[in-house]
Amino acid sequence: MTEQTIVDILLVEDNPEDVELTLMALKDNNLANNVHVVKDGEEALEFIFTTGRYEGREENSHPKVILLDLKLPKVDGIEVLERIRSDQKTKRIPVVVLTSSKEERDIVDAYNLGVNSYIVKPVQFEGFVTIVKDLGLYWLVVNQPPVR
Amino acid sequence: MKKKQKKFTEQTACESEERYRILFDNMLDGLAYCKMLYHRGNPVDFVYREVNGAFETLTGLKDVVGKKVSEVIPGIRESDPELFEIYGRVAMTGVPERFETYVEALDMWFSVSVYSPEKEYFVALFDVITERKRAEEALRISYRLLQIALSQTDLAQLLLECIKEIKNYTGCAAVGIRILDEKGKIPYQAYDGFSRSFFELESPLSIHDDTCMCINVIKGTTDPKLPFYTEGGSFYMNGTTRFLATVSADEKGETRNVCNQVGYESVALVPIRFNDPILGLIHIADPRENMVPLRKVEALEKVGMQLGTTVLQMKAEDEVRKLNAELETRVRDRTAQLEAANRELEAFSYSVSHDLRAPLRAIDGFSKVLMDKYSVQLDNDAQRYLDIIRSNTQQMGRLIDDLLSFSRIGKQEMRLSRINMERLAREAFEQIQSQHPDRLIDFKVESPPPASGDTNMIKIALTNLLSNAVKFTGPRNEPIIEFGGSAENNENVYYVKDNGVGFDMKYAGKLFGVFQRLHGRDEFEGTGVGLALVQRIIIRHGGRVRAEGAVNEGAVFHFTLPIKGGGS
Repeated sequence: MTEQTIVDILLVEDNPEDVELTLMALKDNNLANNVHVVKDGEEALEFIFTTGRYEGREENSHPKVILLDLKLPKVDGIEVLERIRSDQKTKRIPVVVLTSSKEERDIVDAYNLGVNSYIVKPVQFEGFVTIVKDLGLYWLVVNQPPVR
Repeated sequence: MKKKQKKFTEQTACESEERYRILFDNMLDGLAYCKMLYHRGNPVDFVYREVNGAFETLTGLKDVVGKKVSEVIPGIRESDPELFEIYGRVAMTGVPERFETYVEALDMWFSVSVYSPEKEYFVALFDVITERKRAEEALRISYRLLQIALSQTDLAQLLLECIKEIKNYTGCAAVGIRILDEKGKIPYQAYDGFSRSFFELESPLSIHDDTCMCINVIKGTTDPKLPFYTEGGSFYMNGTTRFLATVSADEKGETRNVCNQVGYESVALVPIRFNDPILGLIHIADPRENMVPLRKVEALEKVGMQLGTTVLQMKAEDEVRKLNAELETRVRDRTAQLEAANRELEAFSYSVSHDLRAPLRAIDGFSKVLMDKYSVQLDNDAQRYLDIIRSNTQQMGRLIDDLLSFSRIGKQEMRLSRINMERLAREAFEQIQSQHPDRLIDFKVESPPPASGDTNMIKIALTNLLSNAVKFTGPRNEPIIEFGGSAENNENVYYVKDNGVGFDMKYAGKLFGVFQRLHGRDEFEGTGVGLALVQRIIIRHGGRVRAEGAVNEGAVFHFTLPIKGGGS
């Protein structure tokens, strides 16, 4: 059981700089309060399915959105997405792929697995900040999530 | 009156007889007037009553008048009984006949017309047609071999069929075909009638080590003055034992005489040749004497030439087949290698796409954070340096993006469709224009023909060309960009023309290379990938690109697209 009980955004990202920049952008817009960060696909799955390190976490408490990188250690993002979508309890969780990859194969695979959105992270910081802010606002404020 | 009448009649008869005599003696056909002799109703012999001059010339028989044919041509009754049957029938029935016949006793062919002036008598009018018949015979085997050659693709099988025909034609017991190989050996490629042990003994003969008639014929070292060689380079002998008896022991030692030792009396070796080079030989053997007469050997020499052509052709075909098989293997190997390399490249570009951008984002992001949060501590130089860092990371980001799209264009599948080039160009231009709202550009489109191509790719190419034009007309007060095209011999030729800063034609060749730039970054920004991408797209469509320009006088980029698809 972690201290945090409510998680609005699950950020799945192995690159610590990207994590810091993302958090910075969210914080600037007061969206960083309920963000939980996991560093690889395995930890993401444990969090979502409340196993391993997250055994005992409130099972039905799903994040409002999962921001998922694709190239991850241990279990990659596509597989995480596949597992989320193939389970009745988790298949409705909004998942946004947030990645550096512009590869068509990744985009097609992600959409085939029912991703809600596919965002390519820009190199330029201002662009990146704008996108993260828009994402946070949209999924946390504008969008009506499925019943928890 | 009566006397006069009689005299006249005699005179007329005399003149008539004289006329017939002249005709009889001068005609080219042979004529024999004979009396048939019957024994118990069967024709058994005939007597020559009268023959003309041509009879002697044609048959070579002399002083035959008054003699029986059995005396003139001994053995004819036994060898050619059907001749007596025909003559006997005509002399008896009076019904004339016409026929062609081979008289074995004379080894000649005749065309005969026979009639009977009175019972038991007949007149045979004939011509000798031996030459024609032999030519026909040789032609027939030649034709048959041609048929075989056309129907067979397997050399061994073809040779075997040829051997069957040659056996038929010569009536000999054994026929083999030997073909000279690269090592100078002359193995039998096919044989029929030779014993296994003979084949094993003879097949390994080599033109370097052995002395044998076969070797002489293969080497072409035959002397036509000797009685057993022909003008055409063949060896033939119709009684080996008889001949060897006339040769000294020393001379015998020079050759192997294997044919004679295994009991072959008639032996012929006929070269298989293509013009000059002798490729092999036909080996014919029979235990009986006189089985390979010169005329047959000479007919087979023609067959040998024909076979030479076929053998050479089939060897060439074999070679082609072998080369093709080898080529296929090589293509397979090379394809596997290329596929492996391709997979590696794909993994590489995938990794570039994922991993190369993240560090840039960190560099750019933290530089920005530094500038924002620590602006008080940083002096002007420090700020400027951070700007430089950021503009470089952004340039690097663009480079990565351009390179990735460049590599992607190469492997993307093409979906061909008909493209309205005017509409596509206008769309592309509007997108570019919207990124430069402050620029006032005169864009003219002059009715380009529709193209066949992948719409996405062609749009990328057009966008690159047009944005170059927009970029390089930047310093102009009245920038003009024109797009147009026309159909020329099976292809459409399009152009994008601008009145921008142009370029020096001596660098025209460099324009389309990846990372080639003709301007400094401080003049015009860019990664140097755009035109390489354009070229790649056009080449994939089976077209060409070309640039013309002069410094400060604008530039024209031409590209062609085949009218009916094409490309890879």
